[in-house]
Amino acid sequence: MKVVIIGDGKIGSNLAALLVGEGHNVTVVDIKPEALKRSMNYQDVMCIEGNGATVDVQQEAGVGKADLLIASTPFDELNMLCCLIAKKLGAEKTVSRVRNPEYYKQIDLIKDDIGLSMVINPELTTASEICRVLIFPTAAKVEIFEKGRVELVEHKLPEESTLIGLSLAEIYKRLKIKFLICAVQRGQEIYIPSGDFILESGDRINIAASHSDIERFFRQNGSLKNRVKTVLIVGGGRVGVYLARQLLAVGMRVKIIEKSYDRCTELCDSVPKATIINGDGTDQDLLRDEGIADVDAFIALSGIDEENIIMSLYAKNNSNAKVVTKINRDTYVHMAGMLGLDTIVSPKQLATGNILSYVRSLKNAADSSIESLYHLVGDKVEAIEFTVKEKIPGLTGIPLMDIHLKKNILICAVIRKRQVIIPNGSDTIELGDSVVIVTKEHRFTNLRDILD
Amino acid sequence: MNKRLVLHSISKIFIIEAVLMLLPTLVSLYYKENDCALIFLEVAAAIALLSIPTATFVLKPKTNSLGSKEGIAIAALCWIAVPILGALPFYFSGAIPSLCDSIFESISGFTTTGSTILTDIEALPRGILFWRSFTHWVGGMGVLVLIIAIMPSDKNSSALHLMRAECAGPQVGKLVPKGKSSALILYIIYGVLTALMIVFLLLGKMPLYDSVCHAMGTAGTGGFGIKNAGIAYYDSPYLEGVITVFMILFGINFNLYYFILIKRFSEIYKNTELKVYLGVIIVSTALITANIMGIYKTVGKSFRFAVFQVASIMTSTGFATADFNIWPEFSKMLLIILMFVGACAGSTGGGFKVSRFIIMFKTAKKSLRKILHPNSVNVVKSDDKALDIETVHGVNSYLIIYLTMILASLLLISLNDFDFATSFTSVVTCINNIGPGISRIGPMDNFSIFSDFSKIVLSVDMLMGRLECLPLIMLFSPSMWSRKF
Repeated sequence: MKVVIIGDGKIGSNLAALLVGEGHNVTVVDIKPEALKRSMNYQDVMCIEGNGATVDVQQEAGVGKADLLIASTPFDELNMLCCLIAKKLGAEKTVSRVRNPEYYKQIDLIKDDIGLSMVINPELTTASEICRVLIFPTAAKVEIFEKGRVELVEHKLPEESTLIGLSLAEIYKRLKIKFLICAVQRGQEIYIPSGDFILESGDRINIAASHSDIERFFRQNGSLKNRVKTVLIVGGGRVGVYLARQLLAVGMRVKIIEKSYDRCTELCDSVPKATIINGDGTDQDLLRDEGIADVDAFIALSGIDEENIIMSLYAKNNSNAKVVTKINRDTYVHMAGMLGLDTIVSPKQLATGNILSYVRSLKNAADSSIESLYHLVGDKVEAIEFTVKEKIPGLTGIPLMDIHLKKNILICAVIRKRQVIIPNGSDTIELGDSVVIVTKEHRFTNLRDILD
Repeated sequence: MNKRLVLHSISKIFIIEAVLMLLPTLVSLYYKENDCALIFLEVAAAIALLSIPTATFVLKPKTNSLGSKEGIAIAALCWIAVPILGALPFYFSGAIPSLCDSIFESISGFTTTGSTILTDIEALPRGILFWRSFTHWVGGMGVLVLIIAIMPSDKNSSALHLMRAECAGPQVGKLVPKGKSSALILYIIYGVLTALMIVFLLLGKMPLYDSVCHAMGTAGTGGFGIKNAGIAYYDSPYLEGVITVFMILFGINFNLYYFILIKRFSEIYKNTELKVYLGVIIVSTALITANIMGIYKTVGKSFRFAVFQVASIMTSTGFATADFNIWPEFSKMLLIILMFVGACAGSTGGGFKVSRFIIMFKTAKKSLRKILHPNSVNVVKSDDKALDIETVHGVNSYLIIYLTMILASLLLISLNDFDFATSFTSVVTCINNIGPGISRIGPMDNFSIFSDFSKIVLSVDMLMGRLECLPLIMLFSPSMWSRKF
């Protein structure tokens, strides 16, 4: 695939390296020659110097024939302009980084008009990741479908789970949550379960549901024993705000320590429910006064990696809290791990990881009618998204329970007019829907093929 | 420096060279020169046998990180070793009895110089002559570029480090994001142009063997012929025309052909180097035509010889249709100046390169402006783009290194006690990879008059010219070889 990256910064250069590693043709555009020199010397990419938001430069970079344009300059407005121009020049898909919370909030309004295929917000991604770690520590998020409307989560059933010994049909009836167990990994075997499948202890299940339903699932099935109730956040930057909002929304109590007084007053405005403390998070007396010994979770989100590491080590030694450390530099991630900090989040890596999985899905979809394709459970299961473009007899307009599917196929989500339906037997597939199916072994290229 | 990786890569290159030698083997067999074929086969087998172990398991590098140090070392060492191995068939077949002469001939071939020590070319077996021309073709676009194009690529930027060390010109970039694809595109353009030329030569009733040899000689802007009289042997205005046009084409930056392929014609239109290059050819041709009118009487004939010679010298090919030794002094001097100018950057031609001259003239202009307006801010631009100050500095330092090399060689060559024109043009023609000189090494003469020592000096000059000095000089830098720093 031909990929053009505008902005050769932290995320841009990291992405370029990863994409080249996967065999894509990458062109990097940046206005600063110093950044490009580094890329030119260490990566097999083409470098073009200039303002990426100008038609001339984009044409020189071959944006018109590109399959994907990624705008990752430090400025949101510039990123969106880059994408708009790229779309006009004929780029297939565009991804823009938008970090300003105000812009991000309204992005859905203009997303289609400026032709954005994906918006990446590293701070929000980081916050969501931390939030996930705090809410269901046993889960490992696998993929996001349908632009974030459906999540596929891998979860190892704990020994004492109440779900063990129940068939899926019973589970669905009992929990009253719209979710679907779409793959079960038992030892070396992978199952695409039907309604009479019975869960055993030690199973790893893949659950498809919307974000809020997944949270409810974890809360209800009792796998959250030591629920986090109080969270101490050091650093009231963008990640802090996003995280505080998410945590407050699920009912946790949040305290934010922030150095700058002005920022503190802003925080009071943007997250009114949180307790805002003006002070230095590296000050151990302050941390003690604010009750670090008793909090359930401690999150180090200051802008300086070294401070985050030191604070986290202090917290680790002086409390039983779950400690999460934000680290930006790749080299520190490994070092912090050696120091005993186990939960480390890196906005850069999370953002690049998200874009990378998007690129992978694009690549997989490139040569068929598939919208996107993800590999789950170590490539053994495929989750494929189709759009229903024509009426298919025996499939459309019929309740799912009456459809004769091939073995080992599950329809795990139907998306109709941006609404996610986690289907049960009485739902139907209609013209214009997007359908996510989960399948073992087979590689389908057409929705018709799933019929027996 | 990662020495294992360097040696490993070079042994891979040797294997490629052994494979390339199979081509002249086939030619020899076709012309029933079995002895010659056997020599090629033996040399190829020997090279392959010696390098396959090192290329596969003996010298397996611990890491694959190829930086600019390694790239330079590979380029320099490979360009020394490959021509020496390429000289073996000349020596063992008895075509060139002296080893020193063989190496001179081979280096002259790979560096696309085209200077020869042979007095009677036609006496050589056809297989050997084919190999001689084939070295031009391989050396023209570059051995390393060939390696990059055909070897499986790795994921870092090693290709660019190798290409930078080998390709000519002040700025070496890639055509497409992937180094391997860029190299492949270059070779495809190169191959197609060569094939096209063979077809045109065949249409002019040149025999197939001659067409292939001359096309390869032209493509690499080399200049080895297969007739004692050179191109004049055919005495055909059509063939000369075809060769002239293709010499000029091969002297143009290959990036421009790629731009034609992807239909970005504006790039070509605004390319200053191309305009200057063609302009110099036109003006020089006109001046020489007027100047040699006295000798050839008619305008047509004068033009025919003038344009061929201008193209041949400027692109650093070195073919000859006329003995320009007998031309007036003005024409000879103009040709010597053209030797220095050389072809476009990114072409197969040698010389100082038109683009460097453009950059230097533009810099000089800005410096002059600075005298009049001391506070003026000046940015040197090329093709509407501001030039990196490092590029400008690079051109300046290249000039001084280039001149130093010429002066040093001149001093060493003067030991032969030849006249000034012979000594001077021998060095100039070698370092610019052209071929013929003036006076005793004119287009109808050869380099056999020089002592072995001078041949070695000239061989080094040819390598210096082909690699643009820096990689070879770097080889002698201690920090290049030290483990740390």
